[in-house]
Amino acid sequence: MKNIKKNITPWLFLSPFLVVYILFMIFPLVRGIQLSLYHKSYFSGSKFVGFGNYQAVLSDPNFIQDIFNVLYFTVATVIIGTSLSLFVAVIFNRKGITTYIMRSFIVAPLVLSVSVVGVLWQLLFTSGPGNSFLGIILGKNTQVLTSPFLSMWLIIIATLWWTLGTNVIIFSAGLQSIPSEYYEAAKLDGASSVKIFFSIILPLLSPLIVVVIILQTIASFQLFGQPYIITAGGPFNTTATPLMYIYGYLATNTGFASAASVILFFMMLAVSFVELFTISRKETVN
Amino acid sequence: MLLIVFLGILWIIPLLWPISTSLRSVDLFFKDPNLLLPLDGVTGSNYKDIVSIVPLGRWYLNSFIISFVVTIVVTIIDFLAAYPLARMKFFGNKIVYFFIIIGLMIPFTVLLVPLYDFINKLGFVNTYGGVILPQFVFPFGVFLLRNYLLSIPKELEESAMIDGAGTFRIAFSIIFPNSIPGIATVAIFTFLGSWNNLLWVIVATQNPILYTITAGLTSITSVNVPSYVTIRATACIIGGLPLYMLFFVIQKYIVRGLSLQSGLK
Repeated sequence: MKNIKKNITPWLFLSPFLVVYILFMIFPLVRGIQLSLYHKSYFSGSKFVGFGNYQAVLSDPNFIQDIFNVLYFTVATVIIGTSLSLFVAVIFNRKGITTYIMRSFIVAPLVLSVSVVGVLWQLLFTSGPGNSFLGIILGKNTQVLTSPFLSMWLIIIATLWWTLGTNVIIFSAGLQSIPSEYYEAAKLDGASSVKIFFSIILPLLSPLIVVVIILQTIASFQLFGQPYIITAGGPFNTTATPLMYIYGYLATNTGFASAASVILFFMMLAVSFVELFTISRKETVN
Repeated sequence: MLLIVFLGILWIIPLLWPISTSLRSVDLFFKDPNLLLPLDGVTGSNYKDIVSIVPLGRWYLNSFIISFVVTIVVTIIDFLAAYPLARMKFFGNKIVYFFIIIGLMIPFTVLLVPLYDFINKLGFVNTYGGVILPQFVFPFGVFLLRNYLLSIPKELEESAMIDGAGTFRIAFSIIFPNSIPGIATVAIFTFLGSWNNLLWVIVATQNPILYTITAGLTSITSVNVPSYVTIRATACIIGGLPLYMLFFVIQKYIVRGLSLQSGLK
């Protein structure tokens, strides 16, 4: 009797979580793949179409463009987001109240919601000083939201402003875990700051860099709120993303939307694996 | 040091303009829309007007109700799940843990369509239940709390067991109070995630009365009348400033959570 009770207790503790987990995560995951194989309409009901939805999604030029848009965004945010946050973490790696406050300013926007960030940057470049400020720098009159190139970069910059702090915190924690003797020894040997960065900080932080790159990739692929609010996908669909595409078909064509999500999911998975594989291999070569 | 101050200032500059604009009257705003500080006189009229244009109070209330319920439930069920995983030996422990870790890798993207389908079938579209229920799943919390509970010394439980306390008593009166920092971190992450959730809220409800402040703010952007600029800037400040201020209080919990997420202690 006591033995049975001992075996059941852990499962009693686990059951509430497992119930919601299976109901709202595992079950929908399986169901999503199933839905993507059916064509559903209000007139004829559900019909099994195999990979028909996938074919239709992949031959839709809008979806292909959305994929390219999000790839562009992901490459930009991963490269700039990772290197800039590493740079910020390194120069902010010192004690003092000023440093603490300034770093807080950089990190704080991450608690804001995407709609606040979106409205903020949209206003800055529609009614605020954004366009005139940029006009002074570029030396000509600019309207950011009518230019495909500048619109995308506005979304990239708004995103970096919003989320850079996440990476900065991760890298700062990593830097603090490096024993200070390493720096002192290197300084005694007369190593410059640049040399210290490349021969001590970079190799020791490389596992963290992989983590940051992959987290950033997964987040970037799911871009939705920023273009939804700032540009509404425009101009000419140049800032629309796969998730906006899925959102658009959600209520009208479930099979179509599911197929698009499964494609997006596998792309994210593939890119993350390639990143993990190539970066870790480069480490062992070094 | 100069670079540090420069970067810090660079990051708050985008916030100056909406703060300034929200405090200026429409007439003065159009005389010089680019002012970063309200040098030409401060007025609270935008804050008074906005309440009659959009149901801000209701949206804030919805945000509080939804985020509060989600946080309480997630914190409890994640703690309950983390406890046996960290402190009990039983058959299947490793397997269940692995099964839960898989959840960390599933992006919301793939769940969106089937979840909508599911909620729709249950008749939960346009209800609080529909908005709240799927947010109960937060495997990251189990992961974080399990790691936290592993760091609590075994002797605590052993002495309680000798005193004859049962498993539930031990979990709630001994382990729970000792894991408050870990629980606080999970609670903050859950609260922020729920408060800032945009996509699921606008999918699960088309009724603006059920919107959270995060979802509601997006509908303000579609009101594109020039004289609304000061109102929209005000909405942005009302929606963002409270959390922004809160950040300086909860900073250390956010740092702890993110460090754990990346595999550091």
